[in-house]
Amino acid sequence: MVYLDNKLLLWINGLSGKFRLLDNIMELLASDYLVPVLFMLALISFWITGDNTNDRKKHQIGILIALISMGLCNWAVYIINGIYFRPRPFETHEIYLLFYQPTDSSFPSNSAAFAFAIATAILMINKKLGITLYCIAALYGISRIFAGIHYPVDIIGSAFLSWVIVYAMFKLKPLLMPILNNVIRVAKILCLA
Amino acid sequence: MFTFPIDYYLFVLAANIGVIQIIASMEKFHGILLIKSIIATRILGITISASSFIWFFFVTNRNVNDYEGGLDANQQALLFFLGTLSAFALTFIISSIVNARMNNKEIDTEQGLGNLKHTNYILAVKKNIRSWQKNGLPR
Repeated sequence: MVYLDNKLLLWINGLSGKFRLLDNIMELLASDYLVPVLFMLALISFWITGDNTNDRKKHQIGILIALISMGLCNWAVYIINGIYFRPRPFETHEIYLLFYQPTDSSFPSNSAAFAFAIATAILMINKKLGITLYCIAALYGISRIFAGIHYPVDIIGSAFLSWVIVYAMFKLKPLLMPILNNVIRVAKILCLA
Repeated sequence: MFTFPIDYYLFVLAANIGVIQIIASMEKFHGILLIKSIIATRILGITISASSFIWFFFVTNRNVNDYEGGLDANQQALLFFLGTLSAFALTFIISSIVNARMNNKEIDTEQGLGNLKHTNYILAVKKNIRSWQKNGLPR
């Protein structure tokens, strides 16, 4: 497993430093700001859109669950990082680094967990947008391996963690509905839902 | 160019204003449009959003560690929230002035955002609050 992880890291990262344009695109994609802001803007757009009030409400409940899942994922990553520290690839391998040098644990990736949590939750309520976000989340993960700050297993682990948490949250949806309904009812008064 | 947190806040603010205008024009929420023409609003929204991304990412290097002037995850979340809140507040205030005459007498509180198709934001909220005091929270 570790052998495969290292092999894949060296293969993906091996592509960096060869094509200036590809490096620039991957550096931009791997940024801490581009994908998170794009995902949040997608959620805001999805919150406002809908064919009718019921359709919009379905979107809004999904978004609230996505936000709760995202918070839980970050919390889970924080706990795992506290228990298990994995050095970053640039600390253990001679690789091409396109990013600043983060000091926290490599596994699991907090950024990837954030992106996959939102993508998975949206996939549960809207396939088209969900698949688009999933593809962007996957590209985000790959770009961070390409940039030399994560191993493939960090990204796969984050995706799996997000999937488990989002799935559990959707299973718990009936329990959350009274709270989510009240949030939306208050938002309706302010014309925000 | 300001400090990194201010740059990020301004970027989020502008990107959000642009996105709100694009979606409002697509969903025909005339009450929150900053320009009365749907097509002009959409072009304005795309221009504001795209410019904010270009300004933030291409003017200077944004790959900066949080202890070297960048933002940690908590600061990023807080500034995103503040930027989004400011974007909605600004949009609601300016659009209520621009669309001051847009006032549909029949407000259906159940519709929430849907009321913004025919009424400006401040009047819609005023009517919603009155209806809430009279009939309780919407379903």
